[in-house]
Amino acid sequence: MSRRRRLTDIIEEYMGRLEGIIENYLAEVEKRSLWHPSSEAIEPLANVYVEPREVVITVDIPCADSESARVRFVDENTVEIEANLQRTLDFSSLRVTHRSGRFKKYHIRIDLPVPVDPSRASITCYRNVLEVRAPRK
Amino acid sequence: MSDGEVSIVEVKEIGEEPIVIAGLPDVGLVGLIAVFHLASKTDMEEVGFIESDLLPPVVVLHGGIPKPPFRILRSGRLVALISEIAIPASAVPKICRAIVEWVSKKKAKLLVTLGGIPVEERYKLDKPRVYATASSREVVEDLKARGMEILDRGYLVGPYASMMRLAPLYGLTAVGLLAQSFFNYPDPDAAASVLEELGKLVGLEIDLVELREKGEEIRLAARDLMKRTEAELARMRKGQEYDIPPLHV
Repeated sequence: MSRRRRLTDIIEEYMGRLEGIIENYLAEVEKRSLWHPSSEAIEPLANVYVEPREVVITVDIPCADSESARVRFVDENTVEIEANLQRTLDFSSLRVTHRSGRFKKYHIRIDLPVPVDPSRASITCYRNVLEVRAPRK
Repeated sequence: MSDGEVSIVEVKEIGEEPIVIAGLPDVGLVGLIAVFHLASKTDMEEVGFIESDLLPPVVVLHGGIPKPPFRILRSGRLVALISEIAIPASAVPKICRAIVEWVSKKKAKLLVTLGGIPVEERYKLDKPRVYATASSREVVEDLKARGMEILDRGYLVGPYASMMRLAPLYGLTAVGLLAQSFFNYPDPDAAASVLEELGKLVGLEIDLVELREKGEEIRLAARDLMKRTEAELARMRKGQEYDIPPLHV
């Protein structure tokens, strides 16, 4: 009985720690701004899906010139994605008057949870959602 | 107001037997984008708001005037609920119960929730399909007879799940319209799809040209709210909507 209780305690403690990690991550995500006037860049919304044979990265780049999209693997665990906006955007065009800054491109650097083979990556754009597929190593 | 209380404040006459349409922040911000468009096309006016200390201390500035982020709009018999902030996961049960109670007191003819259902590789779909769910078998049969596709099996998580669960307990007829959507990218095309089906359901012609034409601008402008909503969706375990329920007999 006491052994079962200890096991339960361990699981509860583990779950508590896991929830703490998730909550800290979510708080960081909420705190981070997607607008970076100093580099004239907007951070796009992005997703990473780890599948059995490949990693699929999608990036939402509305109002971008999809032909200008550039995908650069820094190493097997890191990818940088950029795309120019169709036109320079500033806060006033979003009817925000108390902030200044203009934006020319999307830029994001993504840490991948597993290593991939960049040489066999493929890139497709569907109505300005960029999809990068890279086989896992 | 005491801790955890939810007040629904009416500043103008709302009238009885309305059709209430909920457009709350959820996957792809589908319902919110849809209701904003509907409000603009039907000249809705603000008739009330929802106040609670369960909501964060936020006002939204429009034209320099602070407005409650969770508002009630009306045009004729259509009443819409919108929220310009992500609803904290912990506040969802009480706020949804208060909404359903209020909708019931208004003797609403119908409560319609507009939203999305996340699907893998949504970006490969040209036109998102819309699935319906309803508060009773009779309404499901009626929707089928109207040619609507039913979301036969699956999970719903979040505000609409609470509202759909409570609606029959308050004697309400509720319909959920859910378009295939992105999980965490704003999805105006999915919003256009649910509005098409809403139009058929309530007999309203809604001009969707502008919504489709300005889709990319809407995606860009709605990113910040999408990011905050995504964090609350994670707290609600919204990913469960991808799960398949166990078979039953």
